[in-house]
Amino acid sequence: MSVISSSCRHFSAVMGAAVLVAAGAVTLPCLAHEFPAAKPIKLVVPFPAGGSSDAAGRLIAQEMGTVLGPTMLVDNKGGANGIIGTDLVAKSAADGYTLVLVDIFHTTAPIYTRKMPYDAVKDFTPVGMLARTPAFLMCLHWPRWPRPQPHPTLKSA
Amino acid sequence: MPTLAALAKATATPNAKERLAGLSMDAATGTPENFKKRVEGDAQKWVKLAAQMGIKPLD
Repeated sequence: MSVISSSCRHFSAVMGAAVLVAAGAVTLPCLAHEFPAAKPIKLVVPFPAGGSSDAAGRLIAQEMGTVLGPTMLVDNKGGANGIIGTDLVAKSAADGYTLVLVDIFHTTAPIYTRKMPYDAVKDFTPVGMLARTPAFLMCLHWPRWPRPQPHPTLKSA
Repeated sequence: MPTLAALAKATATPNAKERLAGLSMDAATGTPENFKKRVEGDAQKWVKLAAQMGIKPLD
């Protein structure tokens, strides 16, 4: 979700933030009339406090709390590019009381991490999209390059 | 799903939209089914791209 400004050329893309719960959470029949109960709902933000993911998580937790009733707690569990906090939710009780805020790392981490502790698709139940935000791919400006000199293709960059 | 309804309402409030805009974000909504397809599709896309580019996982 990070937005990186660049004095060099950039390619825009769109990344999103979204909320997941542990798989099976919405299939528990007892939840239909009991959820949410009086206990707090935890939103795990798998990044350290102070970043854009944290800000978005706190914002949405506050707003969701006013709708659902129970207190929404934000729990920052950063580390391993989001994997540590997300794994915590994957192994939590599938009762809908523990959510995780994810972005593009959720589907990209498995391609560069040999031993994923969870399955990004099978171990979670998607709740919904929260926001979209631009992202930029940039390169270091090399003084010998005339500027601006956009590359016609990503491969040539 | 009460959580989904809460999320939809939470992102639809003017206050939330304004605060998200302050983070350079646009509020987004969608059904869990669409989101599930998105996650599955993205996961397959990245695996395919990594294979094409020869990207290998770190030890």
